[in-house]
Amino acid sequence: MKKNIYLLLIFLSISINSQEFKGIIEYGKKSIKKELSEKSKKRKKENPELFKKFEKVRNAISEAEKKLTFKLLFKNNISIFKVNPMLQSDNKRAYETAIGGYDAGIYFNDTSERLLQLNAYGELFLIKKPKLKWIILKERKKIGKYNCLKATTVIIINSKGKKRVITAWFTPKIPVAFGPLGYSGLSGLILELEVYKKIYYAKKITLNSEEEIEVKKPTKGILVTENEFQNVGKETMRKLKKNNGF
Amino acid sequence: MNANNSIENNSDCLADAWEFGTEEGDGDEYSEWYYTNKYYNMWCLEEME
Repeated sequence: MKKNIYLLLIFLSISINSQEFKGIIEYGKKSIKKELSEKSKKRKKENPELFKKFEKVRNAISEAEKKLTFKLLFKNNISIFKVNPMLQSDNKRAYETAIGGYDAGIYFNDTSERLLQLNAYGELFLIKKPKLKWIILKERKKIGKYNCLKATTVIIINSKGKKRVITAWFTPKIPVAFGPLGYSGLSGLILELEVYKKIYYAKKITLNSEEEIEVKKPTKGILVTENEFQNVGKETMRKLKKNNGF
Repeated sequence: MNANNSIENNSDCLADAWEFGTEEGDGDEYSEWYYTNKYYNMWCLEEME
């Protein structure tokens, strides 16, 4: 009898370990209306024509990005996040207007690393992103049928060490540590992510479907740390500034 | 647009693109470069055509 119970436990253990937890999450993107910056206020007074032109461009981007969709694919402890490429073939101009600098990247996460494959400055880069430290706050809100917790993290956005706060709303009901743009490390799926003036939000959640999910780690590109990538940017902008007399 | 090239045509619009790009990027060098390029390619080149 005892032997049978042991065998049953071993069988159950193998069965649980071999079960896959996988999913496909579709995200949308929208702009957050913020107050005019001091620069914009000044421009509005001193150069109203240019102010109007910039506002027109920003509105065109905001409208176009509403049609952008992204996919997060995860299987157990690995995930990939990328823009849905269908739109590009539908309307090239709309796609180019909509897409933001970091939207065209491919984000890979597993338990030990965060990678971003990005075409920048005419080269393909594979950027090793640092681990994130999250602070979970008291605020709660419901997104769809999921109760979500608020968390923030601080990232370094440039070679001078400028910081930016990123806000995430995540649900422990879906216990995977992934989210849009490679943001990860929370005890649940990120359903909403606020990055600077943009929000990435979950539109459709499909868990454990029959569909085969392939999560391939990107391997091509110049391997750099985030800081090294920021230094490439600093040098590129310095040259651009010098060569065009800004 | 290439960092090594200076652009002689439509330099006023390029200056606008730089201003737009640096403002949108808000200190993030890659975003600044990206939005400067985007503005130039989508809105300055269009004006020239």
